[in-house]
Amino acid sequence: MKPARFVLPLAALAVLFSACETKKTSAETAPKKETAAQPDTPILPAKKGDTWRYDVTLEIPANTTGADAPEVKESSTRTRTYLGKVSPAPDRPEVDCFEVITADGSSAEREFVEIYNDRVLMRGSMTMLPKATKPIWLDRAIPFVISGMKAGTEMPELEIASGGVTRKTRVVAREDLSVPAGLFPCIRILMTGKDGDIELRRTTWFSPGTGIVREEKTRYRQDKLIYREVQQLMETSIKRP
Amino acid sequence: MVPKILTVLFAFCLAFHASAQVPKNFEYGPRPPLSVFDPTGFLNPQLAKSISDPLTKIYQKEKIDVLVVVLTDLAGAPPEHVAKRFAQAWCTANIHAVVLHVPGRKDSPWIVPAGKLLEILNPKEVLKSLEEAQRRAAKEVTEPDKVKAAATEAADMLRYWTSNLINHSEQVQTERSQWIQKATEKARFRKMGLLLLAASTIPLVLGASMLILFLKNRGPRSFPSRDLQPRLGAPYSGGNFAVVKIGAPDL
Repeated sequence: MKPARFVLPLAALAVLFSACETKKTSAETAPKKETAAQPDTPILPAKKGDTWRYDVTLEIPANTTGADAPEVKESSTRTRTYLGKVSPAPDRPEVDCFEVITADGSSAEREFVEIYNDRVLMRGSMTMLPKATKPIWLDRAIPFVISGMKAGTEMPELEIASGGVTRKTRVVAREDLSVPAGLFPCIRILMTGKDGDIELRRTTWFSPGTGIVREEKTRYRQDKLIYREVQQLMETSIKRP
Repeated sequence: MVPKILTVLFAFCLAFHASAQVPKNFEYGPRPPLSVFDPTGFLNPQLAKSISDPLTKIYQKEKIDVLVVVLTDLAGAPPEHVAKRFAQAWCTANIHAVVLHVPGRKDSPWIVPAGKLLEILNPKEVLKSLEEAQRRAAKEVTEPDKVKAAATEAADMLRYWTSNLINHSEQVQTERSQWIQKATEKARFRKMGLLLLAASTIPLVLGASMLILFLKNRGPRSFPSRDLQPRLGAPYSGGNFAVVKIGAPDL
């Protein structure tokens, strides 16, 4: 039984060796849990007729609209209303549409978007008053806000019309914002870019389930500020889920 | 009495610690409570507060420090050098920035970021973001508005970079966890294979031993097996009771 004398202990050793287990910490072995799926949904549960009323402050520096033009600083109210599915033109598909009207009714604009459960995509816009214009239409919808967006995220840079129109969108932070309509948890989005020779900077505070709560828009041309508008939500008919 | 002494001692230790943090040769002394240092009162109090309040909130919640400094002149020193001196004296966050403004200077305000996290960021991206931010801030109409715009740009920039780094780090951790999980599964399969091999070794060894023994008994120096046959009167009898006697005959 000479061979068995050596082989059996070796086999036993092999069994022992393979049975030994190096302990790893649970943090290393356990895969990281996925972030909670879609906590911001429905991102914008708008119904036809829902309204958002904003307090708007507009500043236009002197000499911007013309030589010796005075500085403009005015406040007004603006109402955004969800119209449902509307087609901007006969050759365009029906998309979600918001109509934005100033309190005095002097200007109206339509914003065309696509609203899904977890995202809002921009599609275009059209001026209705004082004079209806041809709609600005994007052949490819651009993401405006996506549920679960984390601070530090950057959207793919957009370039249209051979660099004439560029947009860079970044999520700066998730923060709570207090406005006249209340306290809202918001996604703070910074959009910068160019429309020809006009540079723009737009900070939007979007509250999932409610919509735009505050917005600061600035426009620059030839190294000067030409326009600043700040709007904040006063009241809304939309019910937060 | 004892609690009072302890309180005084504690306050003394805090003050000592605070003063020990500030470099001894820093001419502006300790950091003021607001995030805006404007010794000459260039910014009106309302504007200073509107700049400082959000920066203070950001520092409390996110530990991102933006300090606004307004000086009448830099005494010939480069703006970045002056800003960094303030940062070294007054900023301790892992990422911070000093917005430095000198009224009357066309290239002012300057945004000077610093901190440990900055060393991890891509320098080209940092420079590009910085130039864009400073350019936009400089387009404001009035100097106080430029300072406010620069502070906002700096805060947005730092918050974005910090979160971006955190996202990247989380992504690396997730990928590492997934790699470890795959490696653990492979190791488990290897272990099972070894166990099966070990388990199959015993019958193999037994079989081999028996085969060796069998073959060994067939070879030379092996005695044939005994063939037992019954014998009449065995084991005590032998030769049908025949006896053979050798010696002198009986007379």
